[in-house]
Amino acid sequence: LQMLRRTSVLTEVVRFASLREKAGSIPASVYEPIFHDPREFPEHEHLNIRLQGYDYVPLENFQGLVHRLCTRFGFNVLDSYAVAAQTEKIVSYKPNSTLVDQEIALSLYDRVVRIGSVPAPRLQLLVNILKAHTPIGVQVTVKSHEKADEDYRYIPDGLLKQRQEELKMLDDPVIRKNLGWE
Amino acid sequence: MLSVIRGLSSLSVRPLHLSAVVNGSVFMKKQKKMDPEVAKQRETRRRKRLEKEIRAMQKHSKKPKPIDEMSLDVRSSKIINERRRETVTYTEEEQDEYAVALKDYTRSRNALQRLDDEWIREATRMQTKALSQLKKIDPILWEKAVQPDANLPLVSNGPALSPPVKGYVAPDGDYIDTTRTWT
Repeated sequence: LQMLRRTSVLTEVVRFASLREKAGSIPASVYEPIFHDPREFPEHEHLNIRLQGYDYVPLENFQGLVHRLCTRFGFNVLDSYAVAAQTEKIVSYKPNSTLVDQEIALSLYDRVVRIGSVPAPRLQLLVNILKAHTPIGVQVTVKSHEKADEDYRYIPDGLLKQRQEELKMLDDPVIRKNLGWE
Repeated sequence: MLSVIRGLSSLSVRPLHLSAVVNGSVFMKKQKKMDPEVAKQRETRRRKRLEKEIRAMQKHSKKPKPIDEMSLDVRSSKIINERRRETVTYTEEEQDEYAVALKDYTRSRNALQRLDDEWIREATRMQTKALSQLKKIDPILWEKAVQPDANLPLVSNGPALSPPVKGYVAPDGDYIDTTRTWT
């Protein structure tokens, strides 16, 4: 009977807890310090606040105000610049005829303030205060920054575009066939 | 066997029509097989050359469009000598008057800026408080409330100089866009 009891005890594998198991799993902070992101709201990507008007004196003053307000909110003002104006010719005719009455040349001036690190709920507050301060004849456009906005500031280079198109054409399958080695 | 040979008699085969025009055509020239390695080298060389050119052009390619209101236009620069004035000297009373007016103006502008700052502080505080309360009540709604604005671009106009004129009849006319294109 004693032998039978011993065999039933030996069928269970007795394992003692290792020191590692007693200590528990290694926390993540042991090998790498944990950096907490202090931001509590998701952020917008870079925004462009575009100011347009036919009179550039109040427009430039308003640009300065926008810059100050954005800094006050805590947004990061990346850039504050002017863009080439859009010119327009207005021709008005005398009533019931095509005789030219007046010819007016107008320029629509453009100023842009670019901001980053904008927490999503704060943007509406900025828009509210901008609406309250917008001077006469100024149009405010708030939009996300795109590559086209940055390219609009510069004169397009025709030669550069040509070269880039040539490089792209080399990847075209039709032309690659004619190259003769594929 | 013999029937096959009979079928191959020269009478049923027409000879090629050769003339100066036909000999000169593209389809008569033997196609030179491009050595694949040579072609590959040629392609890589062309690609490298293009990339080098692109890089060199990109270095001094970004010319900003000139801003006319920030520079003296040609017409004015020619008549600038006519437009020079001597510096104005103010009397003591005038200087005092201007200093007082400047201080009043500065104080008023400062007061307005302080009001703005207070508004910003209060609005931010109230918004943060409201959102933290919302988070306690309903985290899903908080998640939605805190998403970036999907309604961009946002356009708003400043006030008009005057209210709309009653009974205004707009004249006939055209708007012609004369913006300078650089293409």
